[in-house]
Amino acid sequence: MGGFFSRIWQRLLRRAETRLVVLGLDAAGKTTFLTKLALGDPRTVVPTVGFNVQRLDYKNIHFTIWDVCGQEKTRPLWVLYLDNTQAMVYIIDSNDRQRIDESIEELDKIIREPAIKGKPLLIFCNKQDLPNAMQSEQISTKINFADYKRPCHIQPLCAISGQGIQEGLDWLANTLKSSQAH
Amino acid sequence: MHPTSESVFAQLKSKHSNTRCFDCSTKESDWCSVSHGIFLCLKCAGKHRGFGVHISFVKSITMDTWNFKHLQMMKAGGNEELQTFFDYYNLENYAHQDKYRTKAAYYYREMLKNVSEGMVFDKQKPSVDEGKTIIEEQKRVLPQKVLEKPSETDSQGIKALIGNTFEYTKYLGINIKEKTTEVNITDTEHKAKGTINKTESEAGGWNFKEKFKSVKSKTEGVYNKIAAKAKKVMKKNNEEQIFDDSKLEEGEDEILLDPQGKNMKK
Repeated sequence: MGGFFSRIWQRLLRRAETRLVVLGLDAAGKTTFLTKLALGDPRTVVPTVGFNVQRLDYKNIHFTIWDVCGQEKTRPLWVLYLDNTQAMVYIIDSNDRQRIDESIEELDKIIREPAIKGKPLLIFCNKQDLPNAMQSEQISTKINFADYKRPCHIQPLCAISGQGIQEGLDWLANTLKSSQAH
Repeated sequence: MHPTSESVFAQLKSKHSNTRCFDCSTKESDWCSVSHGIFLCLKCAGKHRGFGVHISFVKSITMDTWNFKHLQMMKAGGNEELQTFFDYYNLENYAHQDKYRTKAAYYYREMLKNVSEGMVFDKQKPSVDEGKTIIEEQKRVLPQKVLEKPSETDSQGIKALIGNTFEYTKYLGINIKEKTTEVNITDTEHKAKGTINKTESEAGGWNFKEKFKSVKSKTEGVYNKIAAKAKKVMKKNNEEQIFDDSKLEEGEDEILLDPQGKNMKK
């Protein structure tokens, strides 16, 4: 009996600390996404040189979100940010039709890293408000989810208005909670 | 062999106008808008990226790798060239975001792309008044929940069937009720059958029994699913009741705080 209640006590006390890393090509909207999360209002951001970090409490999970520079020459450095991360967020610029294949190639590359083996992957299809943007259903057909062997979710997003952020984070919080319970 | 990006940029930056930002004229030009062939500072590059790649595709000189096509576009463009082009249309007073959405800017981008690829571009330059007009793009409205759509044809078909049978039975019920007040009970069965046949033929080959059966078989699966889900939810609720904070705080505070101690006292 005592063991049962101490287990509940532990459960109540436990504060899940989660490290998230946000990746994607340059100008995909990683920093805008983070700014919208942290400050709640969209603003013009400058290209990231290096990285940004932000702490966020959501659904009793303490997120530490790392937003990394996505320029071509700095992409090999993404691997360094993957240590100890619980989940990965990947942002695709749906409006940039010419570079969608490049974006998915980079995702395929980074997903094979052993540091994030089996960790949940949340894909945001950003800039859905633009008239020429590719639908998230179209993009999902290009991604080979079966190879990833992890919980995956694809979510349309407009980072400026914030539509889609909550749905994505809800999925992430639920997935992380269920994976920690086991 | 194609020239390296370093040599190309060294050559382009020997021009004085290219060493400054096109938008704010600060002495920093590490970023480029490839679609306009201009040099920008970090801050203005951020603004350009906000337009979307269909208007301005931004690249960093130092942090991006450059391919031949993009280098050709930078060679064809230049800060001075775009400035003289914008001066022709008097776009000085335009807001930053409007300047690049004018018809003139659209023309310039198309021209630059064609010229850099070595193609002949003989499209007529827009007139001064025409070039000043801003092309507004329509923003798409995001649907609230895009994912988890059930297949529409299935749900609609079942809904229509259920709706039809409901209306049909209602109609039959009213009809029979009206008739029974007038007609003898012995006749009712005969009359009711008659009305069923009549309405069936009126509805165009409807067979009430068959439709009812098909609806039943179709909805059975749905019913089973709902029942299974309801059971799950009930089970979950029961579990949550055990872990309910308020209940624990009321009665079993002591045990919670020191379960081991309580056991030891016993």
